[in-house]
Amino acid sequence: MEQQKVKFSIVVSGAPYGTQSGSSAYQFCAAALSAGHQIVGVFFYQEGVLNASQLVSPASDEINLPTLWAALAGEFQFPLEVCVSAALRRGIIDQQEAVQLGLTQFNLQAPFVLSGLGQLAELSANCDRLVQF
Amino acid sequence: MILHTVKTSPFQTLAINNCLNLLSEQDSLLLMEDAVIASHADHGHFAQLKLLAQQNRLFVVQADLDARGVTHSIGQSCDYAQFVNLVIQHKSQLAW
Repeated sequence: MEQQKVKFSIVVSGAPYGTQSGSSAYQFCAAALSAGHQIVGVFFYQEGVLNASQLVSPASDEINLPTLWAALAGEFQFPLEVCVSAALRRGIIDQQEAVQLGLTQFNLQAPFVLSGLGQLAELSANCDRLVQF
Repeated sequence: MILHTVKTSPFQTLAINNCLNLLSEQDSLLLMEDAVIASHADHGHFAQLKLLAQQNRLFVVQADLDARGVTHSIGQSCDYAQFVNLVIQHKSQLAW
């Protein structure tokens, strides 16, 4: 199986700062992709939804995890799913939700999308290995 | 055949303790993030970890050792490519 292309789904449940969860998951994905494997999708859950904020603005000589995720997902064409109920509670809002909630701002970084636990079930069903960080 | 991954120090949480209680004979343990400290020197569960290491079932993420300036005295260090292969070699992963 090691030589074959393996399909991974990833769960990130830690914030980009204060935990290493998102960073570990990103490095795992990068290593899996460079070994020729496939990432079916990444699901951001609990505090992990904070990885999807467009407003994360670290110093210019530091890495920016939301931007790195967006670039990796764009290059390898896999979805970045964000749990909608975890996101709304923590102030991660997309344009559609902002309109519905009567808010003047939204901050979800493209290509992250708000989705539900059904999507996590689907990612889990469609992969060979589910890895949680 | 499970790859257990622990990311917190044994001085901080009971994750390693709880994981060791449920680890079956075919399972392996990967220490990552703050948990890498458990591979350095003696603590309450060091003897159990050492036994796992002797059976080639203990792994430690090298990048996380480097980031903390810690060396491992037991277990096999691995990079992220080897981490990926460990996940493939086991039937599933369990994050503590």
